[in-house]
This record gives sequence, C-alpha cells and structure tokens, in this order.
Amino acid sequence: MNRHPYLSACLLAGATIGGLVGAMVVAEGASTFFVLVAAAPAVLGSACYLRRR
Amino acid sequence: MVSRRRLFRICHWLHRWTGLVATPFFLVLCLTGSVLVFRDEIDALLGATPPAAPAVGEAKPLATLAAAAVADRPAMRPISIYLDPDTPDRAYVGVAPPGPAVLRDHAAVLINRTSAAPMPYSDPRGTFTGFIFDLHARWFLGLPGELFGGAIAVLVLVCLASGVVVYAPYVRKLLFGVVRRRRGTRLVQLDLHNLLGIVLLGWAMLVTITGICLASGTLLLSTWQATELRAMAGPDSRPVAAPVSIDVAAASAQAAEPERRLRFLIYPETDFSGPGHYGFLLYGGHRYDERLFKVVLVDAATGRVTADRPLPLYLKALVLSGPLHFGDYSGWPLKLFWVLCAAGTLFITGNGAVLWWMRHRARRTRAAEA
Repeated sequence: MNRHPYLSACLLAGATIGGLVGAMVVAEGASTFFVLVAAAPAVLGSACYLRRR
Repeated sequence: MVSRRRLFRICHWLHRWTGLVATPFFLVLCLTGSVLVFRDEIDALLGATPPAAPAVGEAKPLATLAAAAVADRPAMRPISIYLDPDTPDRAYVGVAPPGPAVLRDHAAVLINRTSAAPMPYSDPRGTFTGFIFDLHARWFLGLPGELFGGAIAVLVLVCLASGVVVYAPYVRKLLFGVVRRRRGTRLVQLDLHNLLGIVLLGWAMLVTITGICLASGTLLLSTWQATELRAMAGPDSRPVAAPVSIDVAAASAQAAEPERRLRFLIYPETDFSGPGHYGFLLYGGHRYDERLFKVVLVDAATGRVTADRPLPLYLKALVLSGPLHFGDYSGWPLKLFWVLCAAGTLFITGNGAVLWWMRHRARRTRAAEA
C-alpha cells in the first residue's frame, strides 16, 4: 500500500467518507453496513500494525 | 512549476505551523465534540427534557398548542412551532415579545400535543450540553466565535492536506502498519503519527469540512434571508391585522407538498418568514431526504401559498453538515466510531506537537554543543 501512498490515502479517505455519507442516506438497517465500510481503514490499519508489531 | 522537493518543503512548513497553531483549539474542539456526540443521552440523563413517549390520543390543533404556550408565558406571542418526529408527544412552541422577532433569540415552551398541557423543559442554552455546545460552536463569543472556529477548521484542513504530501516520502519504503520500535522514541512517534493520520484522514477531512460549513452557517442564513426569502415574500409583504389561523395556513402548505412532512412552522413577522406571511419547512419523507426541506410561504391574510421553493445548494450543504459533523444519525455503532476517531485525532494532534518539540530540543542541543 505504501508503494503508492497518494493512491492509498485517497482510497482510505474515500472509504471513510463514502461509508459515512452512505450510512446517512440509506435505510437504518443497511446503515450499519456503511458504518463498517467507514471503519474499514481503521480496522485495516490496526490489523497491519498488530501483524507487523 | 514547483519542484517536488520545493513542494515537500512548503507542505512540511505548512503542516508543522498550521498544526501547531491549531493544536490547543483543536484539542478543545475534539473533547467538546466527543461530549456532544452523546448530547441526547446526556440531556435525558440530566433530566433536561422529559423522556420521549408515544402520542396517546388525537393531537390538538396547532392554534390550541400556541394558545397554551402563551397562557404559560403571558405578554408573549407565539413565533414558531417545532414538531419533532422523534418525540411525537410534544411540540416546542417558540415565544417572543410582540413585534418583529428573531427566531434564534426566542424562548421555548414545551407543550403536550394531545392534552395541550405545558411539560417541564429546560432552555437548551442553560443545560450542561448547551454550555459545551456554546464553547464548541461559538467559544462563548457569538458570531465572532463561530468565525474563529471556522478559521481554526481551515487551518486544520490545510494541515491535513499538506500532511498527505509530507506523508508520502516518509512511508514509501516501509510496509503499511510498520512502527520502527528499535530505532528511538522519535521514530516510534513519527510512525504512529503517520499510520493513525492516514487511517483517520477521511474522518478528519469530513468533520473539518462540515465544521467550516457550520461555522459559516449564520452568514449563509443571513445571505438567504436577505436574498431568496425576501424575494419569496415579495416587496409588498406587510403585517396583517387579522391573520388566518395557523391551522388553515398549515393545511395549505401541506396540500402544496403532500409527500413531505410538516415539521417547523413560523409565524409572520420573524426573520424566517415575511411580515405578512407564515413560513413552513416541509421535510422529505424518505431516509435520503429526511433532513432536506422545502420552504413554503403562506399569505397570512388569505391563507394561500405564495411561494414554494427548495433550499439553495449552499443551504443544503449547511443542513447536511450537521449530522455529518456530529455523527448522530446512525445509532450507537456510529457514535462509538466517532468517539474512537476523535480519540485517535487527539492523539495525533498531541503527538505532532511532541514530535516538533523533540526535534526543536535536539536542534538546540546540537547548536549549544557547536
């Protein structure tokens, strides 16, 4: 991921922003899915950190 | 054309100094914002508003609710009624002294919609969360405080954008998620700053941009009032001696927009209606547009709809910025996510200042030795 830092920054930020906006516009049941999408970058970062510790 | 090296140096300087200047204020914003995510829960816990209950029986006419509020606050007139869909048992009736009124300065009376009896209610401005909100949004300074908060948010946005440019060369030769633990405290702090910064970038960008929108809210609303609302009311709008009942006017507005839900009703002679017009805000009936509303003006003399318009784009952005800034639209999972992101951002902000201090101290030590 770090080989293309600008691309990965855009993808990670896009996932968060897309997930948060998505959670606002879809029905309440589906909004949890979008919250998970928004949280994916943080989960990915935590997982990589723990694996490479 | 700016060379890569020069761009990096400019962004490095911007990232360092915008971050350092914004740090103390941003820490306050993060802490107060984390409290405000749980505003409804805290208000309920402290008894600022009675717990929501389902509406039992038929709702009283709007004019009866307004009359009940005026009976509770003699020498006042009703200026607005807010019907919150989350609490269908009550109506918030805004009251003000007779004459032209500013909606923001009103006092509110909470009225039971089925019995028209007043309910216990604390002015939100006097509650704990109201205090925190005033600090977060206005720094206790009114409009200048709002604009100051917006300026801080602009600094944070510059810091974030320049941070991405600074981030790239540092991490290009590292695996994602690596923290170099054996090479000194400063590198550990730097790697944590980079890792947390990049995973929280989207959240921080969204909250900062919506914060800038909200900070300019008063100016945007003033612009709308001075241009669109004035045009909707027309140049001939004059106070009416015997206006039609608000129920008649509300029925006209609802008939003009049958798909939408009437939520906010504004009496004539306020800054959100015309001198001779009722104003009604009708919200969308679907999840995707439930926060967006249309403004319908009804002639207070005839009870006829005279204007019906959607919000301009800049006010739509303002309205949607509220939930996207406070993260209160999708229950507990989102609130938890918000608080964790705010905590992470607090860490990055503090650790950025520590990184600068460590480097600054090392340079001073080297200079002293030389």
